[in-house]
Amino acid sequence: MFSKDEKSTKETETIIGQSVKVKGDFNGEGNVIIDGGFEGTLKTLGNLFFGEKSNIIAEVSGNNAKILGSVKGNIILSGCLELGKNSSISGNISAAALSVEQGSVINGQVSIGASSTENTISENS
Amino acid sequence: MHVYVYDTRLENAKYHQTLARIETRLTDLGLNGKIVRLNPMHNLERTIRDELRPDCTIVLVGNDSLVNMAINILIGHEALIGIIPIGKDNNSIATSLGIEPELAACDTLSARRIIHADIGVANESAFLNQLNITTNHALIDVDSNLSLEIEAPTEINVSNLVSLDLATDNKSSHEDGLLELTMKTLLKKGMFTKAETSQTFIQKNNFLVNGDFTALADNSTEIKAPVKISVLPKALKIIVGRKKVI
Repeated sequence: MFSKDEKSTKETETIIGQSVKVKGDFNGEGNVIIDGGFEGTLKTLGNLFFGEKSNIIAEVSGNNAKILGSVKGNIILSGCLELGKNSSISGNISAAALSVEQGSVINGQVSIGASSTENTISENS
Repeated sequence: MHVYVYDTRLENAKYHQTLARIETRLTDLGLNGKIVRLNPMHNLERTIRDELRPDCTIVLVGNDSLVNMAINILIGHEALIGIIPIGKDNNSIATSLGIEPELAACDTLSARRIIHADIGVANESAFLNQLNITTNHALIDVDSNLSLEIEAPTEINVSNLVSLDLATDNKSSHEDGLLELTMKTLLKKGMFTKAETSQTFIQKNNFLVNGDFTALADNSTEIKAPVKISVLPKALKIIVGRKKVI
């Protein structure tokens, strides 16, 4: 999903660095990397990477995602979700596949599989 | 027809030899035309307005500040612009456009590779290459949808043509109708640790930057905050070099 540096910067439309706080609605088509704070809604057709120090309070949707930080809000993905060892999710997850590292915390409903993802996305849209 | 506009600093005797060589080269290439030397009697605005004709190529002989002043006057006009950069300093616009200084720029003029370039607009001022801001605190509105808050020493760069120090390989284009905002924020540094920076990159076409700072457009024009930044797509016809970075 993300190349050698874990987060590919190629074709990345948006990068939010550490110590930057973002509020609002983001709609994009490319990959998004967040190492800082984000509050609102975050939708992209591309992949998502949330770094270790990321603090996301948002409804998130995208293709694939790798999360190493904290997310409060529902996550809807058409692809895979990868949760790193110190990641923390408070919200429902819907994705085609899920990989969870030891130490990750999930509080919410998890729905995995292509059909459930499509259903959830169409219901939401 | 070519009109060559010489920057005021070229009155200095140290440039006379360089200018003589350029004029000879232009004559050899069949590109000779009218020369206007800017001075208190011939200001840039009046010169450009007097010389503007549909078939006219305005060639700016100087550095970034002359080009920046000229594009502010030429927005909305059909004139074709050429650049002959003099010296190596403050020529970031020419460098982005692949125009090498002095004699080599004459060959670029002769080749006539023309692009329709986007123009960035910050408040009432136009910029061709980039806008730079250094601040400790700023609030940035992006397309009226997103707001970014910065509370640390940060260098903000809004690029129209090219970002030379990007955190992403996403290339900017001279005609994509988008601006690239990059920010380098200094993270807290410990007594024995090196200072680190975090990078932010957003590609959109409207930004509003609030804070206590003065922005610098094309390394030449100062603009007071708040700065409203937008882009005019394909607003300028300009002759570029073969090795343009954009």
